[in-house]
Amino acid sequence: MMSVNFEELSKLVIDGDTDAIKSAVKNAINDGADPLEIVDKGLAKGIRTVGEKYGKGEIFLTELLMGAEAMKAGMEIINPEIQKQKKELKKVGTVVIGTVSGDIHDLGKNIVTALFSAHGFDVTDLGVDVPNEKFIDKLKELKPDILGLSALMTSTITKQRDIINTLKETGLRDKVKVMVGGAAVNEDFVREIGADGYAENANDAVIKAKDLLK
Amino acid sequence: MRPVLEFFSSDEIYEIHQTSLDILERVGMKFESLEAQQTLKNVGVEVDSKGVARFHSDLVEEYIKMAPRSVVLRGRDPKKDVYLRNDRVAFAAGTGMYVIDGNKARKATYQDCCNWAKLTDAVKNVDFTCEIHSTDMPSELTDRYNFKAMAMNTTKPFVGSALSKDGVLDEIEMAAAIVGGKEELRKRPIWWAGYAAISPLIWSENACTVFKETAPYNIPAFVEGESVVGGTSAVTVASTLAQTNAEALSGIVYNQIIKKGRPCILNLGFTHPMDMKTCLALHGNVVSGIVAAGGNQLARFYGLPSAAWMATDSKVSDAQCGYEKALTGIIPALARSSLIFGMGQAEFTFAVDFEKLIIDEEIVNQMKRVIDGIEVTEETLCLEAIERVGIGGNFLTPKARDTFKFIQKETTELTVGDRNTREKWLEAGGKDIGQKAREKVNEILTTHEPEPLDKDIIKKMDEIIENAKKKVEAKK
Ligand code: B12
Repeated sequence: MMSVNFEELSKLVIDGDTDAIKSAVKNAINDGADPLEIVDKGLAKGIRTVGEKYGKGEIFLTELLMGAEAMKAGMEIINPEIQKQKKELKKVGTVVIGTVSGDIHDLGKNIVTALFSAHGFDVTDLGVDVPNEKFIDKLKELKPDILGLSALMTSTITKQRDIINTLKETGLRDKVKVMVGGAAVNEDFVREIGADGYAENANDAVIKAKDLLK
Repeated sequence: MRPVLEFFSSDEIYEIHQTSLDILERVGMKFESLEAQQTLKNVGVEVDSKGVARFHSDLVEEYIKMAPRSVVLRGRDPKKDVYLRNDRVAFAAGTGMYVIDGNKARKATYQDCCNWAKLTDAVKNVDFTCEIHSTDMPSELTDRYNFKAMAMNTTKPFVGSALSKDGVLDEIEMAAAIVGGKEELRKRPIWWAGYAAISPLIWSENACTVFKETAPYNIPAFVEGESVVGGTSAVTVASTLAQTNAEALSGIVYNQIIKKGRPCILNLGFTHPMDMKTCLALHGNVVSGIVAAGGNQLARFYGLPSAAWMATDSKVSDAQCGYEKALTGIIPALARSSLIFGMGQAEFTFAVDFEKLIIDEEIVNQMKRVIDGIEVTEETLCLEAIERVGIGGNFLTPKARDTFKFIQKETTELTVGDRNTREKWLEAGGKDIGQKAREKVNEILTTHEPEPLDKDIIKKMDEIIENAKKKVEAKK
């Protein structure tokens, strides 16, 4: 077995090189590397580094998202191989996310969604202007670990509270971690409505989500 | 000559215009409202099964020409009407959902919205008032409450948001109550219908509804393309303008189809350059000013009024706040944006700061002097005075009497800033601009009495709000 350069794989994620990463991952598989190690020591390490750099303000958001894209491209190649070898990736978590009803702001939510995916979360994005009931229905159907609610207006953040209250009333509250975000949300409000987590930006959202699932 | 700042040559303007038309023809614009789709189809616009309308450039040019060159924003008091044209500049208050108090920001209340309107009613340089979002009222009804707050506390024209179809219908009723009925409203359409496209290239159901419901009264339509630059439009200013212009033009075309000759404002001045590191939508960035100025040049090309935003991302009334406001204000002011929003606004578009409004009034005073330009006539050249004063004299004596009439117009004065010597400044208490502005705010809020709104009108508004409340509760 040839020695696989995991560092190189990480670097391709960091550089956001979606094309090169595909062939590099294929080569690594052909060289007989353990697909789980390719993820762990290569791709995932790369995306973590990108996230850290972004957190420190060293790189632009576009570089972070390109890293996320490269990660995704690599995973698309590796996933079938993992299945073939009947192995299983460590589950990161599942997320149902959307912008609450009455609100159509989606840029922030889309960025959060992209980063969650890049970090290996299984994300279902319900879109914008999502009625409260739809969140509840999807929760029952998909049983995600995390429910993400985005709201940017003072007139719509109240939906975040309503949804949490419905969860309490229907006995679902302790089945899911509720994360809220968006421009009009702040720490005080999060405490007031009893959400589990809040993040000011997409990168922090991922860190927070991982914390919540520990 | 009055200076007009231009960022584009006529060739470049044409390039951008043409790219906007290409976008509307090749990519198209999605209209989420089925009714709007039908309206467009009726005049021959091609609309596909996904609701994407592709416009021929001829059609766009034909309809854009129908929009009038001048738009009047009407106030409760007709003397306060604002005439928007693309060769003069009016100023408007800012908006927000927090109220800044020193280093802190707290959630805005209905009472704050009333006070904000009252303050803007008293401050001379505010031509147009903007709501702040009260957070202590039922969330579905904040638009109606804010409307009432402004109607009661200012006689100047004002704008609030309409959060739903019921919201816009109620606000039309409220506006009609003020002017004495729907027929009167058609003649004096106070209020306006403002909506932005969802970049890139979508007109939402709600936007179409607001435009449609307000059209019969000829209420001015404020049609905006306001992308997050780098996020919902490409990071270059040129592309941002081409795209947001396409968005706004298609909105104006839609408005002209539903009501030929409806007054429309082409606003490309509210874009938010994204901070590519923190991901925040900025406003005090000079790039906002440049986009607004470019947008205004495009609006002038079409003969339409435009708008802009003087803004800051600073959290406090500090040096950053001052310079960002001045820069993001003066750039579009020199480009002759018809209406510059943002007086008193801070912290992106999140907060208002009452004392900042007073400071901004001073900045606006200074800007007005700049845009007045330099008048060159035989009289202002004052050759005779120079001859009379002669070599080594001064121009403060009766010999220069005929130049004195220009003092008011040519010089500037401060209202809260300080231009005195240190001694005199200390004698007067050594106060900084913020302290003086704060005192002025307190004085206005305790002494200013806006022209009261008729009791019956208030009663009517309360009834409208009561009914809306019942409707909302019934839905729950
Ligand atoms: C761009 C924008 C728009 C665009 C939206 C385009 C789109 N595709 O999203 C348009 C022009 C369509 C728009 C429309 C309106 N808007 Co707007 N809009 C904004 C603006 C300027 C920026 C939002 C943005 O995209 N920011 C950039 C993104 C990346 O940041 P973000 O959304 O905050 O997301 C980050 C974090 O919050 C967090 N996050 C977000 N979601 C989540 C979710 C979870 C689970 C977590 C953990 C984290 C998280 O991570 C994200 C990435 O870092 C804000 C003001 C501002 N500066 O924020 C106003 C603002 C939100 N809008 C406002 C208003 C009033 C409106 C309108 C009513 C105006 C009108 N009459 O047209 C309509 C409302 C339509 C509706 N019903 O929703 C107000 C809300 C005021 C209030 N009442 O609270 C604001 C605050 C501006 C203002 N002061 O007036 N808007």
